Amino acid sequence: MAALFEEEFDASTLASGGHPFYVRKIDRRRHWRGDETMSVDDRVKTAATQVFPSDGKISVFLVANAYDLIRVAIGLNSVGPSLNEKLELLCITPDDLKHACLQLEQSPGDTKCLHANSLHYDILDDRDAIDCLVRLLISRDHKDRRLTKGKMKLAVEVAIKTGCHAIDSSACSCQCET
Amino acid sequence: MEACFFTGADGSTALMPSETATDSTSAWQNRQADRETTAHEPTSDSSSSDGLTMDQFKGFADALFRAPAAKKQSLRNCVIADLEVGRRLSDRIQIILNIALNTPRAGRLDEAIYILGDRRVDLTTFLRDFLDQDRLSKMKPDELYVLIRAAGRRADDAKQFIIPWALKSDNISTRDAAVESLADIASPDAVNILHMFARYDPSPSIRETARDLLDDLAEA
Repeated sequence: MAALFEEEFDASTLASGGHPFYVRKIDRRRHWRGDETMSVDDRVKTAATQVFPSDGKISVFLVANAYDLIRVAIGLNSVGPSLNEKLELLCITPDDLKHACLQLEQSPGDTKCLHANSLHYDILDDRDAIDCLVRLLISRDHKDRRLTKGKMKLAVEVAIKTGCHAIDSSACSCQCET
Repeated sequence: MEACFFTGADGSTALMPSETATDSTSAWQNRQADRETTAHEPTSDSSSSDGLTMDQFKGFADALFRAPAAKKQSLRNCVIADLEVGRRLSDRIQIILNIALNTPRAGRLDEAIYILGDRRVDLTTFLRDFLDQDRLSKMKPDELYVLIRAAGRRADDAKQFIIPWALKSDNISTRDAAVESLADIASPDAVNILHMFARYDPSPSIRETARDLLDDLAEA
């Protein structure tokens, strides 16, 4: 069973820059990919405003392995109405952030998953640097990645087994607390 | 009965009950029956109940979209309960759409899709009104995305007139939303249409999205 989860959530297939990497939830795939009618500048503008909307800080999660990815996925969906929803993720390597001169600071996440919250960081918003990051990722043909409903069902099974608070907020047996 | 307080922008306080699903269903059915007996055509603003003031509702919805995960469910229940009974439904739906588009938090569109896809919210009448008045095609791309995805998740007939309309659109974003909605529906007919779009849509990005969604459905 553990091997199955490792295979289904092979974090190394999500990012091209090796481990660890940061993930950012995308609301709509089109926000990142655009379409064939859009120029590169249009794509950069859309992605910068829609995938990285200006709020002072931009929430990301640090993922180093399959387990982290599973828990972050559950944490991200715990903010929404259903844990089984498919997820679109953008993976960003530390090198990408360094190249764009973006600063990070660790902060407590506000998902229901304690493990995911411990992996939460804020990118300090700098519009020019965000534009630079987006342009860099687009120039590298950096694709978003989708965790399907099927994969999310597997993730929920893992969360149930660990007693994750995303499944039951009153649970007192979450592995993250022991 | 679970209840929550909300303080509006004008300083007034409102108490919102969270109704059970059974209560809400019967209330929705009663509201539909009321509409059928009225002499005029029903519109999305014809509700006779009061609910929150617009300012209160806006504050409530804004709080929902910005709330941490642990506080979302009770706020969501309150927003949906007010959408069920509040006057000026189309204004309230527009408020949800506006907040969904402008809140800088990930998951904002999914939240709006879930709220407007709830059976207690009469999105179908709203969509009929806007379609009849030719107002849908003038909406922002992400507003339409939310409405089309929400319609696709509903058990009523909203999807039967909105999705064909969206699939015929010249706008790539609108067709993209309809294709995503077909994957949500996932019926044999919807899958057949997805196959058609994966092969024949003039937009390469739509064909790619349809192919990816078919792969996801096959995996599930």
